[in-house]
Amino acid sequence: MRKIFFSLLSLGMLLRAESMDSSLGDIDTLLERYKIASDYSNITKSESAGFVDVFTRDDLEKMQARTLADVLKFFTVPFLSRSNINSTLFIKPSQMQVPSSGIRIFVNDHDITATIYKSGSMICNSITLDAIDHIEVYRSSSSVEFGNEPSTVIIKLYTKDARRDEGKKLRVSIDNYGSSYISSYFAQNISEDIDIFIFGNINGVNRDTYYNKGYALKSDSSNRNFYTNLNYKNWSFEVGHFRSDSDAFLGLGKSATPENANADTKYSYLHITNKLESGLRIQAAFDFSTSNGYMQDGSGIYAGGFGFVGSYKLNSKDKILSLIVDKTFKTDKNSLFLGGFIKHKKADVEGSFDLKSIDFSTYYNLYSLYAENKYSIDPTTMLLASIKGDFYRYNSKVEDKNEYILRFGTIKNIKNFQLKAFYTRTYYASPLIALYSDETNVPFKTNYSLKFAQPTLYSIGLRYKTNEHIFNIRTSYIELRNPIGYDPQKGFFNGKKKSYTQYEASYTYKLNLYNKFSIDAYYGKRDDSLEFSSPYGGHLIAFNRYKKFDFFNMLEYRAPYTNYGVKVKSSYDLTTSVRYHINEDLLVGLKGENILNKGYKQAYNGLDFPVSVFDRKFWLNVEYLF
Amino acid sequence: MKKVLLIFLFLASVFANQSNVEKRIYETILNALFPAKQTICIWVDEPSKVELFKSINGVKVVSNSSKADILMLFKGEDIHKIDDSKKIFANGYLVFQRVKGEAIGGFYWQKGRPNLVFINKKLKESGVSLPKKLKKYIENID
Repeated sequence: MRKIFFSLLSLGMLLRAESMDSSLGDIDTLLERYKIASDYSNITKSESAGFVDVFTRDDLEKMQARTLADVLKFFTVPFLSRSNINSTLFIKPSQMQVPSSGIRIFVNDHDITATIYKSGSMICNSITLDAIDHIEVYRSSSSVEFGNEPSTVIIKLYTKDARRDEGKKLRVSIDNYGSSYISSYFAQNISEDIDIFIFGNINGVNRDTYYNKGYALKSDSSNRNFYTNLNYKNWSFEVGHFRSDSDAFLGLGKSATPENANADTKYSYLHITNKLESGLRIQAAFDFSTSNGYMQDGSGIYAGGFGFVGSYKLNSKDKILSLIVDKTFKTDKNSLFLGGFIKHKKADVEGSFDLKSIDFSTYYNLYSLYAENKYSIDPTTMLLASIKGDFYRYNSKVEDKNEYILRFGTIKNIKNFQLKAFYTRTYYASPLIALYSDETNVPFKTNYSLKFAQPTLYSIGLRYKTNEHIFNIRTSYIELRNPIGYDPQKGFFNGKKKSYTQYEASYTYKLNLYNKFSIDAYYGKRDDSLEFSSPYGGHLIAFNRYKKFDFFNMLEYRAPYTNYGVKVKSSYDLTTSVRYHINEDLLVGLKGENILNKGYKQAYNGLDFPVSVFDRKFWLNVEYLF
Repeated sequence: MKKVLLIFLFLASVFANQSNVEKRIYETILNALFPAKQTICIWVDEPSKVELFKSINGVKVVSNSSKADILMLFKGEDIHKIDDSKKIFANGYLVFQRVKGEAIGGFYWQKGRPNLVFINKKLKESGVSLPKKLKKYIENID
């Protein structure tokens, strides 16, 4: 580890010498500075929406990131793991996992969340990034300004802008496992009023196969992405499609001995936005998604009211219709955001479990009204308050719910310091699959009277920022009322109040325009002091440029933990990326992931050994702009 | 305006930084095109950019295009009315595409990056010799 640390340090010294050569007045440097100063994230980022971390376009390019998971890997709290069916799993340090509705993923202003599972994590792995300009991550949030349904972590992906990306791009990557990744986009400004962006990607990811009692645990997948947007005057039309056909790793069997395990998901949406001259914004959207899971496991797969079965097939179809209206009223010192939405969410579920089957449909309407006010006492002090009412109306026996979100905060700037403090009382909407099923109570024993879990967050953060240095410390205390638990006999139930505390610290040193180094550390503690995952860890990260080479290095450490009786050792994940600019339009790159093969491992129920979240892989990458 | 919202201040500082760099880019371009001129008279077809050019030392913004040394086109509308004996500089991809036959250069976004181009034919016709540091931006476009 020391060698790696000193290598990074030496690289920094070398780059400092290099940076001395380029005067600030040089036109190349000016153009680069203009590019950075014009970064799209400078416009979209909202400091008041929570603790925000931005992965800029430059960061994503230097990382040679292909999928959203490549970026989520650098999260501190929550961090990324994978579930027993090979989907993305978010874990808070020491915790089992983050509730599925606690994290929401947006592509621009579109919320990608399936009705039945209330989570975007099913498609996280299949979202590819060549259409994405930058990513903003808001934590301790539940801000209403995105017009979102409640969650404490919001991941916003902003797509590339045809106004800046006129042209075409082709990217091809292959790895030492035989995986391949091909993506291309086309961006054109047709006139001053019309522009279009079209993106497509196909990729096949091969992964390590593990064996448990002679049964293969596979995680290969093939994915397809499509995204297009058309802007015409004040109108924007977006169409997105994500598809993933994946081996389902351990499957859902009691002993993780799958004879068959597949999980396929598709997600498509249309999103139309009209911004009127009055400032009123009207959005309409239609989402359609399917999720098909097929598992066979002789040890038995739990299927709610049917007990344990050997063959398990569950298909769901989700439809969401949304209409969102909002407007911001601004004066010199005040900004008032008012909005509301109506969403109609329908789920069709069918499945076969050995010789039995289920087939039911259900829907609900969600009506939401919200307001957020930001008031500047003086140029350095801002106060904010927001309120949101969500009214759930179900067509079934599920109890209707009226839920409220309250949020207060302040942002104070004192010279180079910025203090942020937020109080948030919110809730996690339970997925429909926990609330409703027909009389069979399959695939889970549902609870029509289940209350939504209600977290209350107290968050405070201090930042010190100069042109060269950024220090951040943040802490959050979370009280969770009505946490959701599951008992195979009783079904879903509300548990006793729990609490959780998390701490984070980071330091970034910006050497110059092209080179920065950062270090971060985090720690998370449950009130009962139990540890179901790694409780603390940190990263050393370096983004560099030397002549025509871009470098990205990241060393991640996560502390040991024990879960399901499986001891997981300390993990060290080294990711290294090198890109060479053959010319302005042609790049070749090499990327090594989990190079030390000591990256984070996840312990699973039914498996007596932990499994790597990321394989040791080496990618060759070629990008051509034309 | 004495007090503004913090968010406006933040955005203002972002745009101030962007516009400061933009100013320095135009300063470099104009000094390269008119190395011997004490005062460069320019005409701009985008009112929101007038202040930016006024802030450049040695630049005077004129309202009559016939008195200008160079026309800075951001919209490029009514191009047929423009005196083609003047030097023309296109700002923005679509404007550059529209006037590249007449322009001496352009500054625009393409392929996700800002591009600076000087057109060889027009440079020769105008007798302009760019400094060494800008020569790599010269392209042969008809």
